[in-house]
Amino acid sequence: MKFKNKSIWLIALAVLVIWLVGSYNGLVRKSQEVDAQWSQVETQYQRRYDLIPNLVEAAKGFLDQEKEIFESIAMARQGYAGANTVEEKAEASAQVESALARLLVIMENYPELKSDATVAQVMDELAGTENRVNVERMRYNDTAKEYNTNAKSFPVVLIAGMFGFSQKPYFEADSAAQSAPAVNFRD
Amino acid sequence: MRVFSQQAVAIEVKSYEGLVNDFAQVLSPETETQLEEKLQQEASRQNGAELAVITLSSLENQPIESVALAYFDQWQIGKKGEDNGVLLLLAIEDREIRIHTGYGVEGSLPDGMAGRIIRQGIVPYLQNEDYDSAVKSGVDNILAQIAHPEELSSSTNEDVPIWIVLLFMFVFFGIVGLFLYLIIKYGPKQPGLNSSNRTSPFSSTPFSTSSKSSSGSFSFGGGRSGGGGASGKW
Repeated sequence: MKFKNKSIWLIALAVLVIWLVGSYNGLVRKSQEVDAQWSQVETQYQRRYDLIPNLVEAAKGFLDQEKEIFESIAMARQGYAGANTVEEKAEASAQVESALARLLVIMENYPELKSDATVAQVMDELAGTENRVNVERMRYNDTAKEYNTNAKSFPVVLIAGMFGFSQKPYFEADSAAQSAPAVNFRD
Repeated sequence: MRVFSQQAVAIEVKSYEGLVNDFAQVLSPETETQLEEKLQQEASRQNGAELAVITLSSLENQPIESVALAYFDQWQIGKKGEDNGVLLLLAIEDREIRIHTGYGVEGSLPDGMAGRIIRQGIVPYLQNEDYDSAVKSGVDNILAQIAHPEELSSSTNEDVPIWIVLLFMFVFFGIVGLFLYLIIKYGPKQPGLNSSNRTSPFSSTPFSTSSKSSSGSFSFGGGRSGGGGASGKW
Protein backbone atom coordinates (compact mmCIF):
# COMPACT_ATOMS: atom_id res chain seq x y z
CA MET A 1 0.00 0.00 0.00
CA LYS A 2 1.89 3.02 -1.15
CA PHE A 3 -0.48 5.36 0.65
CA LYS A 4 0.11 3.70 4.04
CA ASN A 5 3.90 3.77 3.67
CA LYS A 6 3.86 7.44 2.78
CA SER A 7 1.80 8.46 5.79
CA ILE A 8 3.97 6.42 8.15
CA TRP A 9 7.04 8.24 6.89
CA LEU A 10 5.32 11.57 7.29
CA ILE A 11 4.32 10.76 10.85
CA ALA A 12 7.85 9.63 11.65
CA LEU A 13 9.25 12.82 10.16
CA ALA A 14 6.81 14.95 12.15
CA VAL A 15 7.77 13.19 15.37
CA LEU A 16 11.44 13.72 14.63
CA VAL A 17 10.94 17.42 13.96
CA ILE A 18 8.93 17.86 17.13
CA TRP A 19 11.61 16.13 19.14
CA LEU A 20 14.34 18.19 17.49
CA VAL A 21 12.62 21.46 18.27
CA GLY A 22 11.86 20.39 21.81
CA SER A 23 15.41 19.28 22.52
CA TYR A 24 16.95 22.34 20.95
CA ASN A 25 14.72 24.65 22.97
CA GLY A 26 15.49 22.66 26.07
CA LEU A 27 19.20 23.21 25.52
CA VAL A 28 18.66 26.90 24.90
CA ARG A 29 16.62 27.29 28.07
CA LYS A 30 19.08 25.46 30.26
CA SER A 31 21.99 27.32 28.74
CA GLN A 32 20.29 30.61 29.50
CA GLU A 33 19.72 29.54 33.09
CA VAL A 34 23.42 28.91 33.49
CA ASP A 35 24.27 32.32 32.04
CA ALA A 36 21.74 33.99 34.29
CA GLN A 37 23.17 32.24 37.32
CA TRP A 38 26.68 33.31 36.31
CA SER A 39 25.41 36.87 36.37
CA GLN A 40 24.32 36.28 39.94
CA VAL A 41 27.86 35.24 40.81
CA GLU A 42 29.27 38.32 39.12
CA THR A 43 26.85 40.51 41.03
CA GLN A 44 28.29 39.24 44.28
CA TYR A 45 31.84 39.73 43.02
CA GLN A 46 30.90 43.30 42.27
CA ARG A 47 29.40 43.73 45.70
CA ARG A 48 32.63 42.52 47.28
CA TYR A 49 34.63 44.76 45.00
CA ASP A 50 32.58 47.73 46.15
CA LEU A 51 32.88 46.85 49.83
CA ILE A 52 36.65 46.55 49.94
CA PRO A 53 37.43 50.28 50.07
CA ASN A 54 35.28 50.50 53.22
CA LEU A 55 37.42 47.90 54.92
CA VAL A 56 40.61 49.51 53.70
CA GLU A 57 39.53 52.88 55.09
CA ALA A 58 38.49 51.45 58.42
CA ALA A 59 41.66 49.39 58.79
CA LYS A 60 44.22 51.87 57.45
CA GLY A 61 44.32 53.88 60.63
CA PHE A 62 45.51 50.84 62.56
CA LEU A 63 47.76 49.37 59.92
CA ASP A 64 49.98 52.18 58.71
CA GLN A 65 53.04 49.93 58.60
CA GLU A 66 51.42 47.43 56.31
CA LYS A 67 51.58 49.40 53.06
CA GLU A 68 52.32 46.40 50.88
CA ILE A 69 49.01 44.67 51.46
CA PHE A 70 47.01 47.76 50.58
CA GLU A 71 48.97 48.05 47.35
CA SER A 72 48.18 44.42 46.52
CA ILE A 73 44.52 45.00 47.17
CA ALA A 74 44.44 48.13 45.03
CA MET A 75 46.12 46.28 42.19
CA ALA A 76 43.78 43.31 42.50
CA ARG A 77 40.77 45.62 42.41
CA GLN A 78 42.12 47.36 39.35
CA GLY A 79 42.57 43.96 37.73
CA TYR A 80 38.94 43.11 38.36
CA ALA A 81 37.72 46.45 37.02
CA GLY A 82 39.68 45.85 33.84
CA ALA A 83 38.46 42.30 33.29
CA ASN A 84 35.94 41.79 30.52
CA THR A 85 35.41 38.19 29.55
CA VAL A 86 34.03 35.64 31.94
CA GLU A 87 37.42 33.95 32.18
CA GLU A 88 39.21 37.20 32.92
CA LYS A 89 36.68 38.07 35.59
CA ALA A 90 36.99 34.69 37.26
CA GLU A 91 40.76 35.00 37.38
CA ALA A 92 40.73 38.62 38.55
CA SER A 93 38.22 37.73 41.21
CA ALA A 94 40.55 35.03 42.48
CA GLN A 95 43.30 37.65 42.84
CA VAL A 96 40.97 39.88 44.81
CA GLU A 97 40.03 37.00 47.07
CA SER A 98 43.62 36.10 47.80
CA ALA A 99 44.64 39.71 48.51
CA LEU A 100 41.67 40.08 50.82
CA ALA A 101 42.52 36.85 52.60
CA ARG A 102 46.07 38.13 53.21
CA LEU A 103 44.71 41.37 54.68
CA LEU A 104 42.47 39.44 57.03
CA VAL A 105 45.37 37.32 58.22
CA ILE A 106 47.34 40.49 58.97
CA MET A 107 44.37 41.95 60.82
CA GLU A 108 44.37 38.98 63.17
CA ASN A 109 47.58 40.38 64.64
CA TYR A 110 45.96 43.64 65.69
CA PRO A 111 43.35 42.96 68.38
CA GLU A 112 42.44 46.61 68.79
CA LEU A 113 41.51 46.62 65.11
CA LYS A 114 39.02 43.81 65.50
CA SER A 115 37.28 45.43 68.42
CA ASP A 116 36.70 48.66 66.50
CA ALA A 117 32.95 48.97 65.78
CA THR A 118 33.32 50.25 62.22
CA VAL A 119 35.78 47.54 61.34
CA ALA A 120 33.50 44.93 62.88
CA GLN A 121 30.59 46.12 60.78
CA VAL A 122 32.54 46.10 57.54
CA MET A 123 33.93 42.68 58.40
CA ASP A 124 30.36 41.42 58.83
CA GLU A 125 29.40 42.86 55.48
CA LEU A 126 32.42 41.30 53.82
CA ALA A 127 31.82 37.94 55.43
CA GLY A 128 28.19 38.16 54.34
CA THR A 129 29.24 38.95 50.80
CA GLU A 130 31.73 36.11 50.79
CA ASN A 131 28.93 33.79 51.84
CA ARG A 132 26.71 35.15 49.09
CA VAL A 133 29.47 34.51 46.56
CA ASN A 134 29.64 30.92 47.73
CA VAL A 135 25.88 30.48 47.58
CA GLU A 136 25.67 31.83 44.04
CA ARG A 137 28.62 29.69 42.96
CA MET A 138 26.91 26.65 44.40
CA ARG A 139 23.72 27.50 42.53
CA TYR A 140 25.75 28.12 39.39
CA ASN A 141 27.24 24.67 39.67
CA ASP A 142 23.77 23.18 40.07
CA THR A 143 22.42 24.88 36.94
CA ALA A 144 25.60 24.08 35.00
CA LYS A 145 25.28 20.44 35.99
CA GLU A 146 21.71 20.30 34.77
CA TYR A 147 22.67 21.84 31.45
CA ASN A 148 25.79 19.73 31.02
CA THR A 149 23.96 16.52 31.80
CA ASN A 150 21.23 17.37 29.33
CA ALA A 151 23.69 18.31 26.61
CA LYS A 152 25.65 15.11 27.07
CA SER A 153 22.75 12.67 27.36
CA PHE A 154 21.69 10.56 24.48
CA PRO A 155 20.03 11.46 22.13
CA VAL A 156 20.31 15.20 22.81
CA VAL A 157 24.08 14.91 22.55
CA LEU A 158 23.66 14.30 18.83
CA ILE A 159 22.26 17.73 18.14
CA ALA A 160 24.15 19.56 20.88
CA GLY A 161 27.40 19.38 19.01
CA MET A 162 25.70 20.26 15.75
CA PHE A 163 24.32 23.51 17.13
CA GLY A 164 27.36 24.47 19.15
CA PHE A 165 26.17 23.76 22.70
CA SER A 166 29.42 23.14 24.55
CA GLN A 167 29.94 22.08 28.13
CA LYS A 168 29.94 24.82 30.77
CA PRO A 169 32.74 24.86 33.33
CA TYR A 170 32.23 24.34 37.04
CA PHE A 171 33.68 26.27 39.94
CA GLU A 172 36.51 24.23 41.37
CA ALA A 173 36.62 23.41 45.06
CA ASP A 174 39.71 25.29 46.16
CA SER A 175 39.11 28.92 45.30
CA ALA A 176 42.45 30.14 46.64
CA ALA A 177 44.28 28.29 43.88
CA GLN A 178 41.56 28.86 41.35
CA SER A 179 42.62 29.39 37.79
CA ALA A 180 40.03 29.91 35.08
CA PRO A 181 39.45 26.72 33.09
CA ALA A 182 40.18 27.01 29.40
CA VAL A 183 36.80 26.33 27.83
CA ASN A 184 34.89 27.96 25.03
CA PHE A 185 31.99 29.91 26.44
CA ARG A 186 28.97 29.99 24.19
CA ASP A 187 27.77 33.55 23.90
CA MET B 1 36.27 34.92 57.50
CA ARG B 2 36.36 31.57 55.84
CA VAL B 3 36.44 30.78 52.17
CA PHE B 4 34.41 27.67 51.55
CA SER B 5 34.86 24.85 49.17
CA GLN B 6 31.74 23.56 47.54
CA GLN B 7 30.19 21.20 49.98
CA ALA B 8 29.91 17.64 48.77
CA VAL B 9 28.16 16.23 51.83
CA ALA B 10 24.42 16.59 52.07
CA ILE B 11 23.29 18.16 55.33
CA GLU B 12 20.52 16.39 57.17
CA VAL B 13 17.67 18.81 57.75
CA LYS B 14 15.18 17.96 60.48
CA SER B 15 11.48 18.69 60.04
CA TYR B 16 10.16 21.78 61.71
CA GLU B 17 7.78 21.70 64.68
CA GLY B 18 6.80 25.33 64.50
CA LEU B 19 8.72 28.58 64.37
CA VAL B 20 10.71 27.69 67.49
CA ASN B 21 12.67 24.45 67.08
CA ASP B 22 14.63 23.67 70.20
CA PHE B 23 16.34 20.53 68.88
CA ALA B 24 19.13 20.91 71.43
CA GLN B 25 16.62 21.12 74.29
CA VAL B 26 18.22 24.15 75.93
CA LEU B 27 15.17 26.40 76.21
CA SER B 28 12.61 26.30 78.99
CA PRO B 29 9.03 25.35 78.06
CA GLU B 30 7.79 28.82 79.07
CA THR B 31 10.28 30.50 76.76
CA GLU B 32 9.36 28.19 73.91
CA THR B 33 5.64 28.86 74.25
CA GLN B 34 6.13 32.58 74.68
CA LEU B 35 8.38 32.88 71.64
CA GLU B 36 6.25 30.60 69.49
CA GLU B 37 3.24 32.79 70.20
CA LYS B 38 5.09 36.01 69.46
CA LEU B 39 6.56 34.69 66.23
CA GLN B 40 3.31 33.13 65.04
CA GLN B 41 1.58 36.41 65.60
CA GLU B 42 3.97 38.14 63.22
CA ALA B 43 4.02 35.31 60.70
CA SER B 44 0.26 34.99 60.50
CA ARG B 45 -0.22 38.57 59.39
CA GLN B 46 -0.67 39.06 55.68
CA ASN B 47 2.92 39.19 54.38
CA GLY B 48 4.20 39.04 57.94
CA ALA B 49 7.86 38.22 58.44
CA GLU B 50 8.77 34.66 59.35
CA LEU B 51 11.46 34.43 62.00
CA ALA B 52 12.43 30.85 62.75
CA VAL B 53 14.59 29.82 65.69
CA ILE B 54 16.64 26.62 65.72
CA THR B 55 18.92 25.24 68.40
CA LEU B 56 21.14 22.35 67.35
CA SER B 57 23.43 20.33 69.56
CA SER B 58 26.11 19.98 66.94
CA LEU B 59 26.95 21.23 63.46
CA GLU B 60 28.40 17.80 62.58
CA ASN B 61 31.60 19.40 61.25
CA GLN B 62 29.77 21.53 58.72
CA PRO B 63 30.24 25.29 58.52
CA ILE B 64 27.36 27.06 60.20
CA GLU B 65 26.69 29.06 57.05
CA SER B 66 26.05 25.85 55.09
CA VAL B 67 23.82 24.40 57.80
CA ALA B 68 21.78 27.60 58.03
CA LEU B 69 21.42 27.74 54.26
CA ALA B 70 20.34 24.08 54.11
CA TYR B 71 17.60 24.62 56.69
CA PHE B 72 16.51 27.91 55.14
CA ASP B 73 16.31 26.43 51.62
CA GLN B 74 14.55 23.26 52.73
CA TRP B 75 11.99 24.90 55.00
CA GLN B 76 11.64 27.94 52.72
CA ILE B 77 11.33 30.48 55.48
CA GLY B 78 9.53 33.68 54.57
CA LYS B 79 6.50 34.51 52.46
CA LYS B 80 6.71 33.59 48.80
CA GLY B 81 7.51 36.66 46.74
CA GLU B 82 8.31 38.73 49.82
CA ASP B 83 11.23 36.48 50.87
CA ASN B 84 10.96 38.02 54.33
CA GLY B 85 12.40 35.15 56.32
CA VAL B 86 15.09 35.13 58.99
CA LEU B 87 16.67 32.14 60.67
CA LEU B 88 18.31 32.40 64.09
CA LEU B 89 20.48 29.33 64.54
CA LEU B 90 22.39 28.37 67.66
CA ALA B 91 24.86 25.47 67.65
CA ILE B 92 25.36 24.70 71.31
CA GLU B 93 28.36 22.39 71.42
CA ASP B 94 30.16 24.27 68.65
CA ARG B 95 29.35 27.57 70.38
CA GLU B 96 28.45 29.19 67.08
CA ILE B 97 25.52 31.35 66.17
CA ARG B 98 24.14 32.66 62.90
CA ILE B 99 21.42 35.04 61.79
CA HIS B 100 20.54 34.12 58.20
CA THR B 101 18.46 36.58 56.21
CA GLY B 102 16.17 36.10 53.24
CA TYR B 103 16.40 38.29 50.16
CA GLY B 104 13.53 40.47 51.29
CA VAL B 105 14.94 41.51 54.67
CA GLU B 106 18.49 42.24 53.59
CA GLY B 107 17.58 45.91 53.54
CA SER B 108 15.99 46.09 56.97
CA LEU B 109 18.48 43.70 58.55
CA PRO B 110 21.82 44.12 56.77
CA ASP B 111 24.79 41.95 57.61
CA GLY B 112 26.46 44.58 59.76
CA MET B 113 23.38 44.95 61.92
CA ALA B 114 22.96 41.20 62.21
CA GLY B 115 26.54 41.01 63.40
CA ARG B 116 25.93 43.74 65.92
CA ILE B 117 22.82 42.02 67.26
CA ILE B 118 24.84 38.87 67.70
CA ARG B 119 27.78 40.54 69.41
CA GLN B 120 25.89 42.95 71.64
CA GLY B 121 22.43 41.45 72.04
CA ILE B 122 22.99 37.71 72.18
CA VAL B 123 26.56 36.62 72.92
CA PRO B 124 26.71 38.24 76.39
CA TYR B 125 23.84 35.96 77.51
CA LEU B 126 25.38 32.94 75.83
CA GLN B 127 28.61 33.41 77.71
CA ASN B 128 26.59 32.87 80.89
CA GLU B 129 24.82 29.89 79.30
CA ASP B 130 21.54 31.77 79.67
CA TYR B 131 20.01 30.42 76.48
CA ASP B 132 16.48 31.62 77.27
CA SER B 133 17.51 35.26 77.59
CA ALA B 134 19.88 34.97 74.64
CA VAL B 135 17.18 33.74 72.29
CA LYS B 136 14.56 36.13 73.63
CA SER B 137 16.91 39.06 73.20
CA GLY B 138 17.82 37.90 69.71
CA VAL B 139 14.18 37.54 68.72
CA ASP B 140 13.26 40.97 70.06
CA ASN B 141 16.18 42.65 68.33
CA ILE B 142 15.51 40.95 65.02
CA LEU B 143 11.76 41.56 65.09
CA ALA B 144 12.43 45.21 65.81
CA GLN B 145 14.10 45.39 62.42
CA ILE B 146 11.92 43.20 60.26
CA ALA B 147 8.41 43.38 61.72
CA HIS B 148 6.16 46.39 61.46
CA PRO B 149 6.15 47.95 64.93
CA GLU B 150 2.67 49.47 64.83
CA GLU B 151 1.15 46.15 63.91
CA LEU B 152 3.18 44.17 66.44
CA SER B 153 1.26 45.77 69.29
CA SER B 154 -2.17 44.83 67.96
CA SER B 155 -3.70 41.82 69.62
CA THR B 156 -5.78 40.56 66.71
CA ASN B 157 -4.65 38.65 63.67
CA GLU B 158 -6.76 40.48 61.13
CA ASP B 159 -5.94 43.94 59.84
CA VAL B 160 -9.47 45.19 60.56
CA PRO B 161 -11.86 43.41 62.91
CA ILE B 162 -14.53 41.68 60.92
CA TRP B 163 -17.47 43.17 62.80
CA ILE B 164 -16.55 46.67 61.59
CA VAL B 165 -16.58 45.45 58.00
CA LEU B 166 -19.96 43.80 58.46
CA LEU B 167 -21.35 46.94 60.08
CA PHE B 168 -20.22 49.08 57.18
CA MET B 169 -21.63 46.65 54.66
CA PHE B 170 -24.93 46.50 56.54
CA VAL B 171 -25.25 50.27 56.71
CA PHE B 172 -24.22 50.69 53.09
CA PHE B 173 -26.69 48.14 51.75
CA GLY B 174 -29.35 49.62 53.96
CA ILE B 175 -28.81 53.02 52.36
CA VAL B 176 -28.65 51.57 48.86
CA GLY B 177 -31.80 49.57 49.45
CA LEU B 178 -33.65 52.59 50.77
CA PHE B 179 -32.48 54.65 47.81
CA LEU B 180 -33.66 52.06 45.32
CA TYR B 181 -36.99 51.72 47.06
CA LEU B 182 -37.51 55.46 46.86
CA ILE B 183 -36.53 55.60 43.22
CA ILE B 184 -38.84 52.78 42.26
CA LYS B 185 -41.77 54.19 44.18
CA TYR B 186 -41.44 57.85 43.33
CA GLY B 187 -39.14 57.95 40.33
CA PRO B 188 -40.19 58.38 36.68
CA LYS B 189 -41.95 55.36 35.27
CA GLN B 190 -39.40 53.78 32.95
CA PRO B 191 -39.83 50.37 31.50
CA GLY B 192 -36.84 48.18 32.03
CA LEU B 193 -35.48 49.89 35.12
CA ASN B 194 -34.28 46.92 37.02
CA SER B 195 -32.65 47.30 40.38
CA SER B 196 -30.95 43.97 40.10
CA ASN B 197 -28.69 45.40 37.42
CA ARG B 198 -26.70 47.23 40.02
CA THR B 199 -23.50 45.48 40.96
CA SER B 200 -22.21 45.81 44.47
CA PRO B 201 -18.99 47.83 44.71
CA PHE B 202 -18.19 45.83 47.83
CA SER B 203 -17.99 42.55 45.96
CA SER B 204 -14.27 42.51 46.63
CA THR B 205 -13.85 43.67 50.16
CA PRO B 206 -11.19 46.37 50.58
CA PHE B 207 -10.24 45.16 54.04
CA SER B 208 -8.07 42.15 54.54
CA THR B 209 -9.87 39.71 56.76
CA SER B 210 -7.91 36.57 56.09
CA SER B 211 -6.00 35.07 58.96
CA LYS B 212 -3.92 31.96 58.73
CA SER B 213 -4.51 29.46 61.46
CA SER B 214 -1.48 29.54 63.65
CA SER B 215 -1.46 26.25 65.49
CA GLY B 216 -1.15 22.73 64.15
CA SER B 217 -1.36 23.54 60.48
CA PHE B 218 1.57 25.94 60.32
CA SER B 219 3.82 25.89 57.29
CA PHE B 220 6.45 28.24 56.00
CA GLY B 221 5.65 30.55 53.12
CA GLY B 222 8.17 29.52 50.46
CA GLY B 223 10.74 32.29 50.89
CA ARG B 224 14.27 32.29 49.52
CA SER B 225 17.66 33.47 50.67
CA GLY B 226 20.85 34.51 48.93
CA GLY B 227 23.14 33.70 51.82
CA GLY B 228 22.99 37.03 53.66
CA GLY B 229 23.33 37.47 57.40
CA ALA B 230 26.10 37.21 59.96
CA SER B 231 27.74 34.56 62.10
CA GLY B 232 29.41 34.67 65.47
CA LYS B 233 31.01 32.60 68.18
CA TRP B 234 30.90 32.63 71.92
